[in-house]
Amino acid sequence: MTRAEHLPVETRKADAPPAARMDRVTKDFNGVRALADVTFAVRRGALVGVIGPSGAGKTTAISLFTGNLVPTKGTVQTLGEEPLRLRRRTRERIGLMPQQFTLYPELTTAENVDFFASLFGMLAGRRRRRTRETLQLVDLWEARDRRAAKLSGGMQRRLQLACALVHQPELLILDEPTAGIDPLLRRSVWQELIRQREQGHTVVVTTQYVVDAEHCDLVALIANGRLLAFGPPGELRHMALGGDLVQVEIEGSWDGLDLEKLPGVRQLHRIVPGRFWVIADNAGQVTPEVVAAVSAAGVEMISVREYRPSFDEIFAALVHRDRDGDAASGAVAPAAFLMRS
Amino acid sequence: MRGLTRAFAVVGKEMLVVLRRPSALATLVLGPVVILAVFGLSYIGQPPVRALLVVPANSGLPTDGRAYDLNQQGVLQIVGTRPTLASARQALASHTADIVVAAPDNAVQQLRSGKQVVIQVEYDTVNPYQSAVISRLAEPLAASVNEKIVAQIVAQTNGQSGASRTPDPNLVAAPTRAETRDLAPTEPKLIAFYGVAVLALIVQHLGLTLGALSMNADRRQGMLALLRVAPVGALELLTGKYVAFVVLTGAITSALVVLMTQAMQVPMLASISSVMSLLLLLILASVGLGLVLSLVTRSESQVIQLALLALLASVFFGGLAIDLSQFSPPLQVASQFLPVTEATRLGQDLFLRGAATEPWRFAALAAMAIGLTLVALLLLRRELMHRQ
Repeated sequence: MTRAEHLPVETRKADAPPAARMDRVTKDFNGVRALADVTFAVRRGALVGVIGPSGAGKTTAISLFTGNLVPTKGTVQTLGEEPLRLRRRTRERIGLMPQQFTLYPELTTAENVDFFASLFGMLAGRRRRRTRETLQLVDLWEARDRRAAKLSGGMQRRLQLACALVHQPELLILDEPTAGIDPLLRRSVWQELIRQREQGHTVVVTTQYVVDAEHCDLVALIANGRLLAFGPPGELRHMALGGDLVQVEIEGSWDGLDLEKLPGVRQLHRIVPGRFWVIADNAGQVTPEVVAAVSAAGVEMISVREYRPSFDEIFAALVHRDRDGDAASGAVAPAAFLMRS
Repeated sequence: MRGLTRAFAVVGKEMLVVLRRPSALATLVLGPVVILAVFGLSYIGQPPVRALLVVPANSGLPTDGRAYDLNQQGVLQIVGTRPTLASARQALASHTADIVVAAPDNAVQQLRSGKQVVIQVEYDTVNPYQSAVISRLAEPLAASVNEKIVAQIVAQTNGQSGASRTPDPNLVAAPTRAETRDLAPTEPKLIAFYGVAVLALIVQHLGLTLGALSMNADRRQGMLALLRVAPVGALELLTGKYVAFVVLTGAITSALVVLMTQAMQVPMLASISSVMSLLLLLILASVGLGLVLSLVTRSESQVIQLALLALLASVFFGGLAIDLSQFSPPLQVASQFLPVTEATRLGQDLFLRGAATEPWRFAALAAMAIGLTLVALLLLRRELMHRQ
């Protein structure tokens, strides 16, 4: 069982059953393990990021949700049904954007969107309206008569997104929608995904940009086919480090043992003489007490502040913890890793 | 030196690319070799022209076909005699004989009364090449019948004493006259006969290529992953493809038919509806064949190779370049499974005769169209259901 300790909590948060879920799923390709014992659920109405480096198993994970792959072990459900046997009505509620450009290069931008709208059974009037709305949404209306082959890479990604959105799917599954596009466009894609979430749609998106985790409601961090962590982004810091991290810098030498005894403090790490990392349940609550303890010890404080490691650092720490195994006692190993880095 | 290095780099790369695709290599090399081998092993040459003689019961002429033998083994074969011209014509219609040579009922009496005897020679083909071969053999055949008639009258005259009437010198010089007639409604030129076959070949290749490339493009572009998730079924996909390709191929075919009949003066004796039915069945069968080929192959290059092999096989074994009668019987049967074979025969009949002499070919072509569509449907369904 991987670290899906947040699953029951997240599932309880929603009244409705999850939009998609996988339970203890393993997927092998010709004896090579792509996913190992992965369990997580996609809450309805949530923006869920499946994040990890290239080759981590992200595409495999979402291909299991769409039914393009079948699990070697475990069970997968999408909108309450087994993906391999999704009913036509259920498929109408799903939008998929594959990783590679899969549209028809000979068709124009508008024709591609119209084709997908037709596949989803939309009639002419509604199709015209939705094609226009969707192309305006992804800022491609001006390029509606341009052949898809003539669009830039970024525009092609947006066109692909438009095709996935045109039928207003309840569950939107996007594989690397921001891969290979410039930061501005990446931002606009995320804005659109957030907008979709705000409209009540469920969005599952894979990305190799770990920093994108901050846009998500829930994040599944995957590396080497293993689910390293699953939960809200804020909780991932806790998960990685075992709590909030407060960095303390003092003048002179002091062992800081008093800090370790403060309520809410889980661990104390001395990085260099005069600098500590305090891992606490809540940085906001413990900081005044740290200041008071330093003052009571007669030590001159230089600075005290909460340190918020980036998601890159968190991810690296979690990978490090995963590599060292659970025996590395959860938080200690990542913290030590962070200190080294 | 650097230029040479670059060139050799390309050489090495190209060779590795080819060698590392053994299935493509096999299709590329083995395909044409197999076709040539089948051609070589199955070709038996021009079969002899089958002649049927009409010998009326009361003519006194020999009824054993061997009596008329011209000793032209391999070129002419007398397959028998019939008492009436009507029964011989039936054999022509059912393609069990190629030529009929008919002596009249009362040859001896006609000659006795000073009339020249007419020997009727009939055949029924729209194939200009076959027509030339048959008409070349008509003359010696008629001469052989003439010989028997003359022998008969001489025998009868010798038996009658006191014959005093002086015969007409012209009649003595030419007691019989052969009248040769092709029963086919037209005697088309080579361009008309082969034009119809080429039309069938072009239509098949067009339909096959469109069907084959379309499915392959969907697979290459990764569309199948999207289509598996989209609420679209194999039947809807196939229907869409069929309609599109039938319309496209149909439009091009119509233009070709107009060009053929107007610019090349190829006669079209049958009704437009029967010609359209034939071409529609051919297009459906060809698109079906293309879709099946694309669904059993994995890559675009493979499907292109198979389409070209199908074209090659159609040229060799579809009756376009060489008449199917020149191949061994097993290959003749196998060739019937090519849509172009049925379409060529039917097309030549419809355009040049005005009606199909072998209507079962319509059923064969329809069966191919239906069968290939069903196979394509099953394969597409399997492809859409296929999961790793």
